[in-house]
Amino acid sequence: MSENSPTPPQDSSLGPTQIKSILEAILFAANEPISIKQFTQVLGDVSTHDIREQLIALEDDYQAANRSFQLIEIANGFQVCSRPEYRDWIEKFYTRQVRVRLSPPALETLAIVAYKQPVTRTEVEEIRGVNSDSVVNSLIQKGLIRIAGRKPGQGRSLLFATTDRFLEQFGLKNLSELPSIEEIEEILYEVQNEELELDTTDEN
Amino acid sequence: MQALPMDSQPQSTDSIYSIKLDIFEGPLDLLLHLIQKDEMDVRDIRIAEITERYLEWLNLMEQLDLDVASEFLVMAATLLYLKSQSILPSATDQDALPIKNREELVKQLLDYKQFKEASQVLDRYAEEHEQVFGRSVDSGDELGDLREFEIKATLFDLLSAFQRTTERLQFDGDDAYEEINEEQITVEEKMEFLERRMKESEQVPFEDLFSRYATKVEQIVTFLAILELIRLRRIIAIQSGQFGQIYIVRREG
Repeated sequence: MSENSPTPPQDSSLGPTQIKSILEAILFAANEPISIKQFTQVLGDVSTHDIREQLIALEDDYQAANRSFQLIEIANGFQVCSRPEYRDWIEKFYTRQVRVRLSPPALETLAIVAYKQPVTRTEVEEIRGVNSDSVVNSLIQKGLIRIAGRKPGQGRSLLFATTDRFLEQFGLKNLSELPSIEEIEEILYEVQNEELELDTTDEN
Repeated sequence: MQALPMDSQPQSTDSIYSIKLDIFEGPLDLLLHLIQKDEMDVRDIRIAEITERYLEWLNLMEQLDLDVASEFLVMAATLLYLKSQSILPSATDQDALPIKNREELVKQLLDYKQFKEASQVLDRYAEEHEQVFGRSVDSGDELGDLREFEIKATLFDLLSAFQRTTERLQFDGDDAYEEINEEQITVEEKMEFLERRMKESEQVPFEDLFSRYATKVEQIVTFLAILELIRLRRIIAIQSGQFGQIYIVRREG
């Protein structure tokens, strides 16, 4: 850590260590992922390249010191999170089951919006083959999708898109991280094999 | 699995009990469920067979007085049309009906299947990500709010299990069906009963919730009560693997 306390944002002579500490302080105070843009707004003259570099350095520090938390890239930003191995302890602390799970219809509607966005409700219904009013509404209520505008032309139907909260909840850095068709097949193939193994152990 | 157990007597449980299905699955789901159950390939569906199965299910859902959405009926019409086409290719004029040809149906199913699979992968992502916790002022509450009706088993899995259960019960206790029970138990009463039952044990195999001496009507009432409790988020239905045993699990708090 630096000897001198960091000077106000306007100053252009911030050293790498100071930048790193400021980033850490912001991450510590925030309760949601912070984007590079938000960091730039605070740090003024510091380039996005330098910010990125110091964020990586920060995560390296955590790893080297074997901390129980990590810096992850998620939902178009960065966030400090606990490491997975401490999950049980944190759940014990919250004294409740933290499993978040959407019903299959809600999940499938969310997937359609995620891949097809911006998308109208009619387009969602064409794919699902069933009225989707209440599912769409419940996804909006949960903050996983939002109204993203109106489709030009006749009817001017509402368009829906996913939110940052969606990215956050599903552990995605951004929308380009949505799994491709090939990845989906691969992952489901693995899951099926796991299930088969589980089934045989069940019977024994 | 051929004949439905409910065919004989349409002893309906008043339509007051009809359960809204809009939080549940649609006709494409049912079709895909039936295709996968019969281990068919979507591109190579045996229309006659699938149509028969589909209609059996529709019939079951109607007898249970589930509020079957019109989309289910349109799909039935489509399947019947395709079936008739395969027998008498020029018999019907498709343009006159708002239904799809085989190619269109297969395409719709494949598209749908892709999104369904994508959603399963996303669910997996969420599961992995749940192991880390970000700094947050009210983490616990936020997560609590996010919880949905957790039906790990789909409506069709539940219906399948119900069908199996009633078949088995019918076989065990034929006499029970002869008695006509004057005091009909209501869905509300059954819900209370089930909740008391779930207080004693946190997890119960689905079929254990059905008494073997119950009348057919009571079985239907039990099933509707289970659906209603799922809808009200008091219980969760979890299935072990595809087409496996279903467990009913009490929700906390």
